[in-house]
Amino acid sequence: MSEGTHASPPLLEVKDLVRHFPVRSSGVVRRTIGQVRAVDGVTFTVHEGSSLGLVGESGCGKSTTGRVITRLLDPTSGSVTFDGRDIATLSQKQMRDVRRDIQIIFQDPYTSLNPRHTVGSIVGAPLEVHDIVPRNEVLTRVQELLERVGLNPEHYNRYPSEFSGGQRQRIGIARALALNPKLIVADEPVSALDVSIQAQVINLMEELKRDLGIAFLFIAHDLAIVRHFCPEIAVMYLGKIVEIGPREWVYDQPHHPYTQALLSAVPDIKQAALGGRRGRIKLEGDVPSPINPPSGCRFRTRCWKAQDICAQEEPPLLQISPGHQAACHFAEPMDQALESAGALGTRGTITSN
Amino acid sequence: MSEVREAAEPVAAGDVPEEKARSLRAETWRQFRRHRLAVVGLAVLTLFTVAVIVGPWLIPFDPYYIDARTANLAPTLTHPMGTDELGRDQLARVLIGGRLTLAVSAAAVLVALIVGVAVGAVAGYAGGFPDNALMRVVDVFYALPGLFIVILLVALIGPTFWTIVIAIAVLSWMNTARLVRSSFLSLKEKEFVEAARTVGVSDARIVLRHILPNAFSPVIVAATLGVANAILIESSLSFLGLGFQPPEATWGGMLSESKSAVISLGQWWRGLFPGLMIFITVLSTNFIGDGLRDALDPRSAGNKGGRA
Repeated sequence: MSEGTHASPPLLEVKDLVRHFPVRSSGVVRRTIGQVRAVDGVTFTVHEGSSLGLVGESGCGKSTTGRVITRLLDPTSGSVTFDGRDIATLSQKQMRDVRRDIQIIFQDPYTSLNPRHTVGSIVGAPLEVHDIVPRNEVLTRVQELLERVGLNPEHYNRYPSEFSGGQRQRIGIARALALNPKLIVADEPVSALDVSIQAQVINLMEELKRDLGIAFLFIAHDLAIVRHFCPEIAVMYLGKIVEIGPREWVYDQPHHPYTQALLSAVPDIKQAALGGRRGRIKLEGDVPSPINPPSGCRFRTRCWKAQDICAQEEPPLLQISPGHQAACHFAEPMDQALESAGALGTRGTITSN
Repeated sequence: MSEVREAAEPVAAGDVPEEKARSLRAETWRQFRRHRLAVVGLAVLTLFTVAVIVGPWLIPFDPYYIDARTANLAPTLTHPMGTDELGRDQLARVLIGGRLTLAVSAAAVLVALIVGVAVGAVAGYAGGFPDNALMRVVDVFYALPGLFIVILLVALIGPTFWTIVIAIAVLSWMNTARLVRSSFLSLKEKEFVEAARTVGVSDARIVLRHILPNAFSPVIVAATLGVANAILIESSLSFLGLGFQPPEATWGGMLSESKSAVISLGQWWRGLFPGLMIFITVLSTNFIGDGLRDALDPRSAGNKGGRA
């Protein structure tokens, strides 16, 4: 199961990445009255041919991170090093070459395909833009790609509306594959699909990872899918990474209370079948506004362990074990956390289910 | 891992029914045909267009030939629409006038469309300052006293074909600009546009190939309705004596010339036939516009573009 995560050289290194969106007042003179701190200092590495899962609730900044890396959005500060080259400051013109190597798969297969273009022209567009193959061979290549993602190659002249959600997502994957990228940013690629279709699409991506050696940055809110797909996991909360490490560590020995809460919310069929009971940490309250995040630790407003120090000092990412880091003043293993959540149960309550 | 892999075999590839594999255009046409009045409108407009093109060659009267012996005749079999005070056959004049009226309207709508789409596309896609600036220009044109400007324009340059076309276009491009802008504003945020950008497609190509085709349905509808509007503007210009000058005939102009004949001499046929032509043409284009709107609207047209 465990792939040697650091055996391959780093492909994408994101360092202190920040993306703020200005909030402007309405009216004639539009002053900037605040910043939405969507991504606020994020650091991680994706290795060649490997994949990193970026997990978090909606609004935590994971999709923004993906869009900054693909330069659909410009970063406010920080560096994005791809293949040894800082792409955070490249102009859109200079980005053109890099775009061949970084592609994106979108969440919604209904809006990510142009309804007025045929499948052939959707998948063929990258080939034509970058002159990958001679004009007269575009069709052949498109058919190869359609076949590669499990679609009928004869359907190249059909429109997206003639396909189901899963098939559409396959078309989106074929488009991303057309340029032979080294990295694919998959922005919740299966969350819009039925569960039975999700497995098919995940398996297709698994094949591509294995056969073509493509690295993935897999953005998701679903812990189970990421666990299946990614040897490395990063958990985001309010624009920051709170825990990062190999999946065995993050899933079996989570140390950050937020990760622990997320994991305890995942229904575990195996345990239920064995008649086992497991504690469940229920988080109370909502995610605070990223315009005005809490001082110190951003999770403290919902954390059952919060002390004075949490409001004063922002906890850095501290090493728990090699490659496994968590940003908490009171990092501790899961079983102890369940205990403390039950003992102190004021903000977090523990229930058996 | 393995429990997921087992479920993966039935890859859905060939299960799209053949009869569904028709193009968007065919689907639109099918929807359009369900709109009875629109089909009637299209038939009538086609008939009129053919009639004004070939009609003048088929009838034995010259629309400009003055003959005092045949002046002021009520409709008969030889002159089914009667004659005017100069003895010219009204049918011949309605047909030759239709050419000008329809040509001017079509040209004006085309010019308005090009200007409106260009302004709207730039404003909507660029956003920010260009958007603000262009939309204020649109506001200014809306605020202009239209007829006054047109009178000025025609008076200064003279009532040629293109002055009148420009005059009508100047009064009617703003709607298209606003429609296109608002479509662009929402379409440029769509993921398929982002997808095109990550692939490296240039801005110009994104605008022309990826966004514009999706923004076109409301524009086509607006253009159709614009034809009706253009006919009415041309008619009012002619009615005010600012359109084409005699002996040139247009439907609006004929209506204008007939004023005194209808009122003081009771020659009803002078006003009825050109008026009827304007009325029927405007009605037909409006029906076509309605039909197109229904056919192109993804919400009413089956599963086109939306979730099945």
